[in-house]
Amino acid sequence: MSELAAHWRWVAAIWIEVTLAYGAYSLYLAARARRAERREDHR
Amino acid sequence: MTEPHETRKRPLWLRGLALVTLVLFLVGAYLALVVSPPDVNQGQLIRMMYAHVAVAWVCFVAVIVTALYGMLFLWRGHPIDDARAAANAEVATFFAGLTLLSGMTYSKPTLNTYWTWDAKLTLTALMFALLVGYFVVRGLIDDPTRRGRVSAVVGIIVAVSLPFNYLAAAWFRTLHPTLSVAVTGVHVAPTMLFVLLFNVGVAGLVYLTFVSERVRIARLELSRSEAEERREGEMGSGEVVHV
Repeated sequence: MSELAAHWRWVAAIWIEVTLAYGAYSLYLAARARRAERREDHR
Repeated sequence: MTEPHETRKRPLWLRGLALVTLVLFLVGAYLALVVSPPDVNQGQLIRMMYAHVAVAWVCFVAVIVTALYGMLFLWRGHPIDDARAAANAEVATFFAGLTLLSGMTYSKPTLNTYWTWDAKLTLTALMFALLVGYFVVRGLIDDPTRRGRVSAVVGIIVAVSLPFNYLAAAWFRTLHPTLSVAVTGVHVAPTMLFVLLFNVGVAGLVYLTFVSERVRIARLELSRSEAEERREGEMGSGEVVHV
């Protein structure tokens, strides 16, 4: 693999990493919000 | 005090903020991956810097806000200040973890190692450990006032470590590069600086979106816990909710 291709692979890795992390935390917050809203509805 | 019962659904402004943040994140990624020129030393790898530095700076902001709400709780004793401090601490922990992870990914192709125990990296790992400790402490204490006070002190300790972390690359021999944008001046090309600041702004919006949603959840949980406390007063003991 050329040096340029190797560099782009690392660049892609960090941006995918950050995007996935944002996505995962958003999903966690959405699930926790749904649970809190449901409990509030039951009250 | 907590929000009235009617506001339990996610408000429109928060949905709007999330949408704007998502669009600007895509613009920021485009700027970093396409518009930014390659660096004279790092070549294309400079495009990793925009992701890592943005996350790291916002982590610092989240830690400072955690400490400020902690101080506010120590001063006023309002449960919502503790809930806000905890919400910020959770988002700060997320950003600290992401700072370490993205830092290791950035470090391997540029410095030929994922990790080294130098001052800067060790202080960042310590900050992450302290933030995890913040939640361990919260889990161990049932009394809400005492829980808020102790975790506020932990939050303030984390914030006190920030100046040392920020200046560690300048003060100590470390693999971590010295500051690109320092108090004394800017050492990067104008286009790169624009792309960097744009991505820092976007990471700031991501932080704002996460923390707003997390505070909304904390308010819902707090209102439930207050209602349970009222019921407890009438009927007996009940479950303690950690926010």
